[in-house]
Formats: sequence, C-alpha cells, structure tokens
Amino acid sequence: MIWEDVLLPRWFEAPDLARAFGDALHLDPQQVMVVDEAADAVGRVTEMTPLLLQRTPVAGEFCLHVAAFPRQADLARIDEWAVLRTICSQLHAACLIPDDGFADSTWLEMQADGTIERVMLDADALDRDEYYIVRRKVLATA
Amino acid sequence: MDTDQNTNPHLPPRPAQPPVARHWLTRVTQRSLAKALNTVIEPWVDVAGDVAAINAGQAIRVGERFLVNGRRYQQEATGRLYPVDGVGLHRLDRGAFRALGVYNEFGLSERAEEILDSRNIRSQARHIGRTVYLTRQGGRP
Repeated sequence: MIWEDVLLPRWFEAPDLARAFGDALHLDPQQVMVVDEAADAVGRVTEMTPLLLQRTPVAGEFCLHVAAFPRQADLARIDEWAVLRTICSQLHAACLIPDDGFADSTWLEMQADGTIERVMLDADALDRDEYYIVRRKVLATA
Repeated sequence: MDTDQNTNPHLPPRPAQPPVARHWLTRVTQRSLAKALNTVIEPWVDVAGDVAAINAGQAIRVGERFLVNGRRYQQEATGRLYPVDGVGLHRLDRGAFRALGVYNEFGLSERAEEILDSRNIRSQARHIGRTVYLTRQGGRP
C-alpha cells in the first residue's frame, strides 16, 4: 500500500502521527503505536494494535521517514489514495512516496490539498539516502 | 568526433552510473525505505565491472536496458542504472525487503523474529528474506 513508506518534510510528534494515520484508517489514535526503535515495539504490540509506525530521521528536504506496519488485513481494503489524502490533510504537509516503478529517482508527492505530482529526486543525494526534489510535474489536482 | 560513439549501438545514451546504495543487499537495514518492489544485489556481483562494460559499449543495449554478464540494468534519465534481474539479483516485495533489513541488522535470531512479529511480516516474506540474507555469506554460485 502506498502509505506504508512515507517521507514527510518535517518532524512530527507521535500523537500527531497517531491521529493522522488513525483518522485515515478509521482507527482510534490509541490503537496506533509509534516507535523510534524497532525493539520498542517488541512485547508491546497486541491484538489491540492494528497499526505500528516507526519514525526515522533522514537527511534532505524530506526529513522524516514513517514506515507503517499494518497488523490487520482489513486495513488493506481501505482506498490507499484516500488514506494518503487524509494523512496529508491532517498533518498539513506534503507526503513523498515511492511510485510503483523500479526507477529510483521518480517518486510521487501528494500536497496537503491532495494534488499529486510526479517528482524527480536528486540521484546523487539518493545515493546518500537524502531526498531532494529536482523536478516536478502535476498529475492530478485535488 | 568519436567514431565508436557513432557506430556502436550498444553504447549508453549518457554515461552510466552505478545503482544507488539501496540496491546493495548488505546495505538494507530495518530502517530502509521499501518500495512495492525492490531489486537487491548480492555482494559478490562486480557492479563496477558491469558499469564499465556498459560504458564501453560491451553490453547488449535494448532501448534503455543493458544486458551484461547475465544481468539486466535499466538507465534512468539521470544516467543512474538500476538493477532489473539476472544472476546475483533478487527482486523483493515490500515484506521480503523489510524482512531482509531486519535479518541484516539482527541476524537469524530470536530478536529478529520478535521484531518481524511486531511488524506482522508474513512467513513467506520472512522465508524469502532469510534466503536472500544467506546469500551474503555464500559467495558466487
């Protein structure tokens, strides 16, 4: 699902992410666990935790990687674009996501208003795990 | 004017550069950003040799794709190559890629399985991740 790996342009506190992803996936924020270290989730997630998020700071224009680990199959049945739109809207932020191709430098960016752009990232920066947009083209407006 | 540039149809349209770091099997971690599909390269693969061969016009070029030493690469507009398939390359879905990242960091350990449990990574994805992880120790087939 397109929202399983999302890059955001600024750091967000755990409650903000829990609320945004929770709203998008029709979950109570309390059902969303946000961790910074993989080990922090071990022994803490339960059947009452349908969604686990891990935050990782990254370098570049998009400085926060949120990896989402859905733990309930029915989350996959929710329209993934609608999920992403709600996340962007709730956070008032653009989201950078990988597209479905194999190329490394072509990605998609969804703005807070739902506009989707195809973007090209700086390939040299990508080699250092840094994310900078060098070109963009609007694909769909909100 | 470079005659070879004009006559060798297998030369790349722009100088080819090696794939970015995320494609190296040993560089994948539990924090690596996963795409829906991800191709990783076993450590023994001589990527620099492949790139040099492509730049020398010694690969078979079809459009933006190059076949060299049993591997296919595609070139982006930036000049960067990305691995497609072939000997020493593995195409992984998001679950298997994530499993590989955990095994790379925690080994084939109970801790790794606990983390994969917390992330709800399926057994099939773990199996593929483990299989690919083990190739890092196996050397060239």
